[in-house]
This record gives sequence, structure tokens and C-alpha cells, in this order.
Amino acid sequence: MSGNWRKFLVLLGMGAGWLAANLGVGSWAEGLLLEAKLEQRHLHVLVDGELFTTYCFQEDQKYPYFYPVNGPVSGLSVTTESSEPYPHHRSLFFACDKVNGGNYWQEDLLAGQIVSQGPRVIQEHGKQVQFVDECLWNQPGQEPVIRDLRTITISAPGKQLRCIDLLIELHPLVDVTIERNNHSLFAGRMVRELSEHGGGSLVNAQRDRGEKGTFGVPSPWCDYYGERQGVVEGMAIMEHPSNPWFPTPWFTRNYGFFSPTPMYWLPGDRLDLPAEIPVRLAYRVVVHAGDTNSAGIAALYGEYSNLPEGMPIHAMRFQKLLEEALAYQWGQSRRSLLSMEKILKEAHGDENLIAFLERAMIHALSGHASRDIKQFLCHKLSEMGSKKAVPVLSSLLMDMETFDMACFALERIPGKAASDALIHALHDLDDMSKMAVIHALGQRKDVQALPALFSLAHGTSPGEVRASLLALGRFRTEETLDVLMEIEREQVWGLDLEHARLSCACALLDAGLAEEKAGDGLRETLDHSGNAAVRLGSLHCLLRAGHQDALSLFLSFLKQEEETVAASAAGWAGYLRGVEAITSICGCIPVLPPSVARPLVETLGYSQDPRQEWIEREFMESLSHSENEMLAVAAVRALGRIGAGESGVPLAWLATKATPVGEAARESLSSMRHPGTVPLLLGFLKEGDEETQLAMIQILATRGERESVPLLMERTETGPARVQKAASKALASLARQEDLDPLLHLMVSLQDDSIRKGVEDALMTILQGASSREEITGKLLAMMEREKPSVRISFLSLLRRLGGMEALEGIRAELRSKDVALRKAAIQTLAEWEDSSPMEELWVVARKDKEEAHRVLALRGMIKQMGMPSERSHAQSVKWLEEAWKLAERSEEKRSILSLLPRFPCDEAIQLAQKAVRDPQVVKEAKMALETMVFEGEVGFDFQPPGSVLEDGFIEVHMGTLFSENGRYGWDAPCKGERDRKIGSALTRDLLFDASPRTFHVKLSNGLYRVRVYLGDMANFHDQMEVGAQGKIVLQGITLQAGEVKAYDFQVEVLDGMLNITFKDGGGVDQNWTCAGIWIGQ
Amino acid sequence: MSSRQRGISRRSFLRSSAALGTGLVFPAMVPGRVFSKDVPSQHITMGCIGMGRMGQGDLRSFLGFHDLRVLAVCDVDRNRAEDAKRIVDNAYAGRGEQGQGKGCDVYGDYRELLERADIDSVMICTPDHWHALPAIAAARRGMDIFLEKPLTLTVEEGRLLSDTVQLYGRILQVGSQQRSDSRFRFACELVRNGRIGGLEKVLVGVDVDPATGLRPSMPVPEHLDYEFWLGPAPWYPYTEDRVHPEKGYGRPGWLRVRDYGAGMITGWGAHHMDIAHWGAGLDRWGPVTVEGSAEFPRDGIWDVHGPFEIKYTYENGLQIIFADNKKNPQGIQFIGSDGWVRVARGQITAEPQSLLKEVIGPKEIHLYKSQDHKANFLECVRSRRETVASVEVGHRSCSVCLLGDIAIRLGRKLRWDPAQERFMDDDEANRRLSVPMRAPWTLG
Repeated sequence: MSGNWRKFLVLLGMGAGWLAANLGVGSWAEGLLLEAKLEQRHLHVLVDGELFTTYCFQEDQKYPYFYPVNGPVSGLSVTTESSEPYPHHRSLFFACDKVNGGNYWQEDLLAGQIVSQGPRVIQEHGKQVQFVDECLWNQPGQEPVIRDLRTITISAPGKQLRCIDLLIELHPLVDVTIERNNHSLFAGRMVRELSEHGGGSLVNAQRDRGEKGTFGVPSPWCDYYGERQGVVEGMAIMEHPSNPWFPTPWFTRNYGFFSPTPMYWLPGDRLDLPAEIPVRLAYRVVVHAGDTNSAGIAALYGEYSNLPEGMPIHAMRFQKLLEEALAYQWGQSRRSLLSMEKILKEAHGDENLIAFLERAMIHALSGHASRDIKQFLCHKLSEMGSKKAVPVLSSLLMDMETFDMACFALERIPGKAASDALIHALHDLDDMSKMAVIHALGQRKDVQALPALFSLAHGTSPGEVRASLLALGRFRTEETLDVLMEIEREQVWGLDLEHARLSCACALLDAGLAEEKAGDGLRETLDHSGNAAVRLGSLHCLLRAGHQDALSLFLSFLKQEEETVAASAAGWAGYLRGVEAITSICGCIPVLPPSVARPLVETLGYSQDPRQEWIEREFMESLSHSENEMLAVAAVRALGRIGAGESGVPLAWLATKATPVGEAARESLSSMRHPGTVPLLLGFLKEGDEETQLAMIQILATRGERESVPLLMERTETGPARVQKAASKALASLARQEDLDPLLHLMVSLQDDSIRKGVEDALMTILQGASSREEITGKLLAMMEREKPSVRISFLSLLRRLGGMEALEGIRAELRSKDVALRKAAIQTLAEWEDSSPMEELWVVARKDKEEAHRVLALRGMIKQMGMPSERSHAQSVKWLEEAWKLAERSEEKRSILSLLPRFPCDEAIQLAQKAVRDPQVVKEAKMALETMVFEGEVGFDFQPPGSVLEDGFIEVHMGTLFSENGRYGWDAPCKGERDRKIGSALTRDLLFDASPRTFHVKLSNGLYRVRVYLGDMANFHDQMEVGAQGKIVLQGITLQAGEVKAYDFQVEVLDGMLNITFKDGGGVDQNWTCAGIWIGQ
Repeated sequence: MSSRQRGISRRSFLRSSAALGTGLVFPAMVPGRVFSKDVPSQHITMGCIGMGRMGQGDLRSFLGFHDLRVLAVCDVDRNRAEDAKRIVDNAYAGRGEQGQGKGCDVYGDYRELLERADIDSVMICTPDHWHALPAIAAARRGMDIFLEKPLTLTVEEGRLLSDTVQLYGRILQVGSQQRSDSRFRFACELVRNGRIGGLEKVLVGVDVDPATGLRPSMPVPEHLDYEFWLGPAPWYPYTEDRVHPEKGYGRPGWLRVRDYGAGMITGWGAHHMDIAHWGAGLDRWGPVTVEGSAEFPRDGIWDVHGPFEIKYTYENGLQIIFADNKKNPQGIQFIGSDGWVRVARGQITAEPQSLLKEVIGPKEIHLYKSQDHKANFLECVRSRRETVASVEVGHRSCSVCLLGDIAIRLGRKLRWDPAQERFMDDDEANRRLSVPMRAPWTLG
């Protein structure tokens, strides 16, 4: 053969080969052919003879991975084996970090390594290839923590598509904890040119875009694609719905990284995988030409997941939750149910999602789900289900376990389908269930159910009849009423029938439909029903609707029915208006029992029609004198409501009575708004008798009528005493600024204190509300000046109530008055002053006034004021009391002084009390004062013979000062002796002694004290002296020479109000203990 | 108009009070018949349904009224019914009022109690899911009703109960006893009479319930008719913490289960939202929008709301913010343009403080004065006057809380038509206005 022929044949062969490759001849119509080639450390997968990808599993790898992953058109890897940033990313890989502290993601192998045990090819060539691998996760030298088994299936479903299916089963060999981390599981890293950075695109199933839109968003897949050298290629990673965290959130980056992983969002920041419990994860990687849409990624996902295309992500989640909950039993955790509820709640407004969710629930109800989950699903369908749910719910009606819930759901799903289902079910159900369905139809008020309900209502089964009657009662159609009216009133269901008729007729009337028929129906019931409540209801309905015979029906009802029934209806008189009605009602009242008449009366008095008003008023006026008190009260109240002026007259008369009727009359007059009321009241106040005036005053005050003030002032001035008092009291609440002057004059003119008090109160109210105190005081004082003494007296009390220095001055000035009465009043006023400012004056008066009565008054006032809070020290206060004591001649004043003493506990007080003990008039009170006085602060006792030199500020205690007599301090028993050595200080020169133990008691308030005892003797030697406090020894072995008196300190806590210090001789040469004194302080 | 008192001049009428005993002439239309005095008042008789923690307390209160006689008690828990009978019998024995031989009657089925012709009134203190049915039945039998709050479990029940009670002319008192407390009334009168200026906002704060864990189902105690206890509510296996304590009268678990009650949103809400409406002058009405959010238990057998916040707006622009008491102090605070007043049980504060000394004048708005809630009920049974917390008031106070519960469960803003008592354009929300009942119970 020549050279040219050979060339031609080769070209022909090549052409044929090209055609074969590109025309889809032979087996390419169903996918391309693949081949797996296992080598030492690589497993290559070829598609149609070209390398698609290599599974790399070298010993020094951190983990096995796929590289390259070649695009179907370019033949170049869409992924990168290592690039900045994060060059540790390996193309397409499965790894993890923070697994039991190990790092199987990055860094050196010491931190952790996923070691392939060597893949095994299962299918070497064909439309797909498959191989398995086992990997161990361990740190060098340590036992592996996880063993994973991975099955990889690779196929090429189209010329421009390549698929890698990875199924990986993780077997924790020990308990594994993975801590939250930003290093993922199954991940891809695109080459720079295809990354977002390089101009590529990242999109998820919900069409969120870019790192920004997809990061952290749960989605079933993500696709990363871009253009490189004019060719658009990409890689999608899909997650199977059976994965544990599906739909998993994505960790995505614009430099080409993307991975579905829960690791960054772990609840509680950790994931625990118990030993021996495998975790299955399945992914599909689709390497494709074109973008997401042209490659049909969404449809491919549908095929992979077996989920409908376009299924919303939340529906996928719901589906998963539902599948997990199919065996739910009550008592188990409700978390998955609550999660489903949340998805349902958030689906509002998304019709597409709702449809998916409903479909999922319907599907679950049709299958083998537990009773308890079916109950849950029916509940949800009752809340949001549509007619699509009706078929499955109908089938559930037939199962007793699910009947109730299915019926619930059907009851609330609107539309014909649900009604049909319920109606249809009636044929096949038992009695109890039938009743529930009948009720459901009544609840729905489905008009199309009426024929079925009518038929049931004419039946014979009591349960069915009753249920259908009640159901029919809820309808408001004329036809329904007809049927109800024609049904015979049988004993068993008679009452239900009547209630149904009533409900139906009422509903019609209220809606203004079929009025005549409904009215007739109600009349019939009213006339013939044996049940009082039904008759009541019928009457009410007729009244409400303004039936033409309403009035006569009402009146007959009241007269003929039993009392309690009639009383229930009486209140409905309010529906009847007009002169004729009111006349009839009033005419009827006298023949009715009081319990019925009363509520009737209470409906009257609201009309605006003058004629009606007149009739009512006439009637009420007479009724108000009824012997039946309840009726009279009701009538009086009605009069108050009617409020026409002339009602005032009889009401005013009644208002004088101290009876419930009288009180009602006063109340009515107090609230009556008619313009003639007040003049009427004033008129009665002017001309009425005493009782009338009193009543009028009370009413005017309650009403707050200012125009009554002048008349009230008149009445305060002259009139019966009770009226004067009442009038002055009323003034207190009514007076205003403008009444100041007349009130002052009024006050001045009054002699009786109790009457004047009201006027004073009125003045105080005005004065306090208006100008400053100084201004008013000035004004009063100016007025006072002009007046004669007898009048000035009346100003004093007011000045006292005003208070303040100026007022005080004014009163003080009156002390100098020659008028005895005025002077006395001034002293009295000062004695009652609110603080102790006048105390000195009072003292002067108490000492010097010629009149005994004045002196006593002043003294009393002074004593009282001594007891008021002041800045004085206790000693100063007691000095005052001493002054008072000097002046006190009567036991009353002495007792008052003694009662104040304990407030000022100090030596002076004790001394005064001790002095008082000697006064037989008040010995008891004096002792009481001593006893109740509690020492505060410091106290010192000078132990000495009586009359010896007393240490300054100390209290004398001699050998016979017994606690039992004194009550405040003293010995438990008399000491042996007492001496004054006549050398040393007032404290140290004298002492008490004994050979036996003696305890000195002091009444003290609880607390911690410092005690100082002065032991020793200026004349003698004493040894082994002991001191105890509160039963515990505090000093021991004290030995002192003659001429030594020393102070010893210790701390004592007083817990029971008593300090006890025991002195004892502990032996030795000398047999006595000696003590010169004690000082106690804090 | 001249006096119509014929024959007696005005002056002489005024002066001679002593002579005026019966001298007045009746107008001609009324015959001169003298009305008889009342017969010494007969007892009002009562049957008590629901003898648990609250029921027993209410029973004891009612026993304190000597013009009332308790003839029967009813509870599906036999122990509780027996305890109640003992309380009644001891009370009457202690007063020397022995009953006829067997003392107070005991029932397990309220329908039997309602059949009694000698019982005038009932007291109902059952769990919320058992409020409507006995109350409606009692109304249809012509009985007057004292019903613990909240009025009902659903809006639909409340509407039907209110319509039934009104139709049959019955007296009903809802146990919203704050309406008989002078502090609450005074606070509302201050608001109604403009003492805080124009009312702008009301803040209401209430307690919330805890969550709890899972519980296994248990055998039903022998003394409890569990089937009847469930009644119309969906069936669940028995466990103590979903019902009430088997022994004693501790706080029952049903309060926290949505099938039986809505939680504190109605438990306390029915009290405080009631007062909010009273003060705002919105009795017998409702909001136009409601929206809110809440936390719910993440697991466990209790499923009523936890901490929450709801905002209601009304036609006149008023806003009421109803929340748990970590967000709003417990009680009700009315905030106006010129100040505020806050009221809770046992306390009332205001700004300015001087408001607390205000006197509501005779010409101003005075709200219904009731000194004692149960006494008011009994008075109204006799007088047939409406009670201070009547059925429609109770229904609207309960409804507004239930609307809030619907809003927090749906998690979106809802528009409400207070006249029609329906949500606007929201079928899903409207479905929640009712709850279906298990056969044989029906809300017919």
C-alpha cells in the first residue's frame, strides 16, 4: 500500500472514532462508560477513557481525598488540591476537627490522621464503578477512635455530568465527642477561577447566592460554578435527606470552599457520638458543565433524594421530623412535635409550603403511624387543614381509636367536601359517634346537612333525635323552624326540642328573618311549654324583637307565672316603652307579689318622655309609702332617676326618716340632677322642721352645693342645736375663700364649742387651701385686735390650729390681758400647743399666776410639752421635770411627771425618782419609773457608806443597796461592811467589802459593755480577790497592797437585760474582797 | 308644674311631719291597698359543682351567708365530694341547723344535681374546660349561677353562655372579685372621671406558669371518674400532674395544660384585663388588633405559655400592653396625659400622689358599688338586678385574654371585629375561637 492510502485510512479511522465519540452511537445514549484503575496509592476513575477523578490515599496524607475532579468539558480539575488561602484544603474530602481532642482536618499527622486501609474495587467498569474503603481515625501510637466504612459509586449520567456518590458510615470505637468548630465534614474547594472571588457563583437550593446568602443557611444542596477559558463548569454537593442533620447548614466561603456541616452550629457546642452506634452520611457530588439551571441540579436532586422537585426546605425538615415521630407515644419527649408545630406556624402565608406540609401529614395519617401521632396530626389539620385532608380524615372516622380527632378536624375544615364526608359517615357509625357527627354538622351550620338532620330529627332513636334537634337549633332558616315546629313534643326529647325551637326562632328574629313565623313559634312555646325556663326565654325573645303583643304577653306572664319565674322576667319591662305600656305596668304593680314588683319598679324612671315621666312619678310617689320596705325603697330610687323637680317634695319628706326608705330618699336627692332640685332643698332647709332641716343639710353637703352656704351659716347661728351642729359641719366641706369673712364673724358669734368646731374646720380648710400661713395669721391677729376680750377668745383656737411663731406670739400677748377669761383661754391654748415652744411661758405662769386654776393648767401644759420631741439632753429634760415637780401639788401632775421620767434615763432621773419614792401619793408610780428606766450609755457606781463623798456623775451604792428594793441596781444580799478611809479620791477613799461572794446586779439593755472595777483598799492589804461576770470568772488572784486601789477592765455581753458582777475572795491570807466602785460603759 | 298633692298645701305638708303618717292621698290610679311586707326571707338554695382547691374555698365563703342553704355538692373525684359534704354538714350542725337526716347530698354527675327542683342556684368551680357545659345547662334549667373565672375555655363557649344566660333571664356572677374591691373601683373611677387626664395606655402584668418535664402515664386513682373529668376534652392517658393532686388540694397541673385552661393569660388575665377594661370604659367590647409573642415550654407535659407580651389596640387609639410580671409590674397601671394610677391586690399608688385623696363627686361617674362579691350575687338573685361582674362582662374579659393566646400561638398580628366577634380575613385564627368536643358532649 502506498503512503497516501495509509494516511487516508488512519484519518478515516480517526474520523469514525470522532463520530462515534460525538454522535452518541451505541451505549452513550444511556450514559458513558467508566473504568476504575487501582494503583499503589491512587485509584483512578476514567470516563470514556479520560481521567475524571483520582481517589488519593497516600500514607502521608492527612486523609484520603479526590483529586483531580475534572470538568466534563474542559478536562481540567474544578477543584484545587492546595491553594491560598488555607492551603490545607484538599479538593474534595471528608475530614473533621476536635474529635476527642484530635485534629483530623489540618496540621501535622501527630494531631490525627484518617488512614485508609486500602480501597477495594467492587465494580471495575460499566456505567458506574464502585469501590469501598475502610479508614481508621487515630493519633500515631494510639488506638483509633473511629472506624469509617465508605462506599463510593461514580457514574456519568450524561456527557456533561459526572456523579460521585459517597456513603460513609462512621463507627465510633469509643465514646466520641466532637466540639464545635469551623472545620467541616464533607467539603469541596473550587479552583480560584471558579470561586466567587474569581468571578464564579455559589447558589443553594433556595436560590440564595454567594457566601453571604448561603453561609449558615440549611439547604439540601449547594452548587459552585464559574467560567474558565470560556467554559462554564461547576460542582454541586448534595446531601441525602436521611442524613442526621438534614437539612444541614452550610459553611461557605467566597474563595471556593463549601461544605454541609453542623459543626459550627452544634447545640451545647458539642456533639456526642456514643460508642458502637454508627452514623450514616450520604452525599452526591455532581460535576457539571453549565450553570445550576442548565445542568438541572434541582431535578437531579429530586432524583437523588426521592423528594418532589421544588419541595421547600422547611417541608423537607418537616418530613424528616414526621418520619422520626411516626411511632410517637404520649409521655415521650414532645420536641419533634413542637418543632413541627413551629414549621406549621411559620408557614403562614406560604401556600406552596402549606400544601407540602399538609400532604406530608395526610400521607402519615394514611400509613402506619401511632395513635398518638395521628391525634396530633388531626389536631393540626383541624387548625389549618383543607379539603385535601378530607379523604384520609373520613377513613379515620371509621376507626374508634381515631374517630374523635378525625371528627374534630372535619368539623372545622370548611367546605362541601368535609360536610359530605360527615353526612356520609352517618350511615356507618354507631350511636355515640353518630351523635358527635350530628353535633359537628350543627356546629358547621352547613345548610346542605339540613336534609340529613331533618331526617334524623324525625327518627326514633332518642340520642340521635336529641342531637339533631340541638344541631338544628343552631340554624337560622325558616325551613328549620318549620321542621322543629312540626316535630311532636315527646317526653324524652321534649326539652331539647323546645330549646332548639327557641334557639332557632330567636336567631331568626334577631336577624330580622321570618319574623311572623318565628314570632308564632315563640308564642306557641310560650303558651304550651311545660318548662318555665323555656317560657322565660320565649318571652324574652318576643320582647326583644318588639312583638306586637309584647305588652300583653308580658303582663300576663307576670301575673300567671310562679313568683320566682315572674321575678326573672320583671326586669325586662325596660323593653316596653310608651305611655300605654307604662300605664299598664304601673297598673299591674299593685296586684303582683313584692318580689316581682320590685324588679319591675327598678326598670322605671329612665324615660325622657315627659308624659311617661309624669305617670311614673305619680305612681312612684304613692308607692314610696308602701308598707313593703323593699318596694318603697325601689320606688324612691325610681323617683330619684325620674328626677323631675316635683318628686323632690315627697322625697324631701321621706328623707327625714331614719329608715332604709329615708336613706334611699336622701341618696336620690343627692344625685338628682333636675335644675329645680336645689331650690327645693334650700326651701325645705329654710322652712322645714328640725328633721327636715337635718336631712336637707346632709343632702346639700353630699351634693356639694355651694349656694347653700349662706343659709347654712344662718342655720349655724340660730336654730335647734342639732341643726346648728350639722350646718356647721356641712360648712366645713362647702366653704371657699370668699366665705372667709362671714365665717370669721360667725365663729366669733358662737358660744358652743361643738358648733364652733365645724366653723373652725371650715375656716381651716379655706385658710390651708389659700394664702400663706403668715398672711392669714396676720389677718386674724389684725381682726382680733379690734375685738373685745370675749370675742378674742374665739380666735385663739383657730390660731392654735394654724400654728407658727406669729400665732404663738399673738397668743402669748394675751397672757398679759387683764381679762381673766381671756388669760385663761390663752393659757389653755398654749398648753395645747402642738410643740414645746410655749413651755417657758407656761412655766412662768405655773409659778407666778395668781389663779390656782391657771397655774394648774399651765403646769399640765408644761408637763405635756416636756414629753414632746426636743433637742434637749436627758439631764436638761429632767431638770425641767424637777421644776415641774416642785410646782406640782396634786398627785395627777406628779404622776404625769413620773410617767415621763423613763424617757430620759440618767442619774438625775433616778434621783428624782428616788425622791418621789418617798412621796406616799405616788410611791407606786415612782417605783415603776425606776424600774422601767433603762441605763443607756455609761453609768458609774461609787461603793461607799451613805453620805460619803460621791464621785462626780456616779451613783451611790452602800452595803445595803439591794436590787430587790431598788429594782435598777443593787446587791443580791447586804454586804458585810462599808468604810470611808478618808484618803484618796472620792471614788477610791471609800469601799464595800465582804468575806462571802456577793453579786451586784444592774439592769441594762442588751449589748456589749466595757466594765471597770476598782479593787483594793487605801488602808489594807488584800489577796486572791476574784471577780466574775455573767457567771464566768473574769479576774482571778488579784492581790493588792495597802494604799493600792486599781482599775481592772473587762468586756461583758448582756443578753437578758441584766448585768451580774460577782465579787469573791479566792483564799490566801486575807479573807475579804474589797471594791471601791464600778464603771460601766460601751 | 304645680304640686299634684291635692288637698294639702305645701307648707302644711312640710310642717306637720308627725301627722303625715298615712294622711297622703294616693293618686287615683292606684287602689288604696297597702302592700304586704315581705315574708321573712326564705333561703336561697345552692348546689356546688367542682369541689377542688378553689371550689372548697368558695364553698366555705358561701356557707358564711345565713340566707343561703347549700343542699348538694358534686365532684368527679369522690374524695373531694365527700370532703365537701363534711364541710357543709359540719357548718350547719355547728349552727344548730341540722339538715333533714342525711345532710348535704353528694353527686358525681352534675346533670343529676341540675335536675333538682329544690335548687335555685349553682356555684361552678370546675377546671375551665368544664365551665361552659354545666353553666349553660343550669341556665336552661332556670338556675342562677356563680361561675369562677375565666368564664370559659373558648370565645365561642363564652358567647353562647352569655346569650343563654341573658335569654333565660338568669343572674350570673363571674368570680372576678376585684370588681367588689374598693381599691380597684376607686382606681377605675379616677380614670373614668379624668383625674389622670386622657387615658393613653394601660399596662397589665401577671404571673406565669412554670414548665415541667415528661411524666409516665399512671393508673387512674380509684376515686376519680377520669373519663368524666376529661369530659369534652381530647383523651389522654392519666397522669397526676396533668389533672390534680391525688391527695390534698395543692395547685393542680391542669392549670398548665392547654386542653383544660389557657394558663395565667386567663387565670390572672381574667382579673386584671377585666379591670383594665373597666377603667378604660371598654366593658362589653374588645380590641381591633392584637399581636404578641411568648415563650413556650420546650418539652414536658405542660404546654401553656411562659413569659409573654401582647399589645392590644382599640378603636379609640388606646393601647393595652399585657405581659408577664417581669415586664410589667403585677396589677394594672393606667397611664394618662396628666398622671397615672397603679392598682393591685392590697395596694394602690398614683402620680401625683394627691390623686389618692380625691373624692369622686355626686355628679361624676360612679361605678357599680359592691362591697362583697358573693353578697352581691345573692342580693342580685333576690332583686334580679345585674351583678357587678355579669356574664357579658365576664365573657369579654375572658375573650380578650383568649385572643391574646391565639395571637401568641400564631405569632402574627391579628385584626379583630369586636361587634361580630370574629377575626378579619384569617380563617386559621377564627378556627381557634372554638375547640371541638368529644362525644357525647356537645355545645348545643
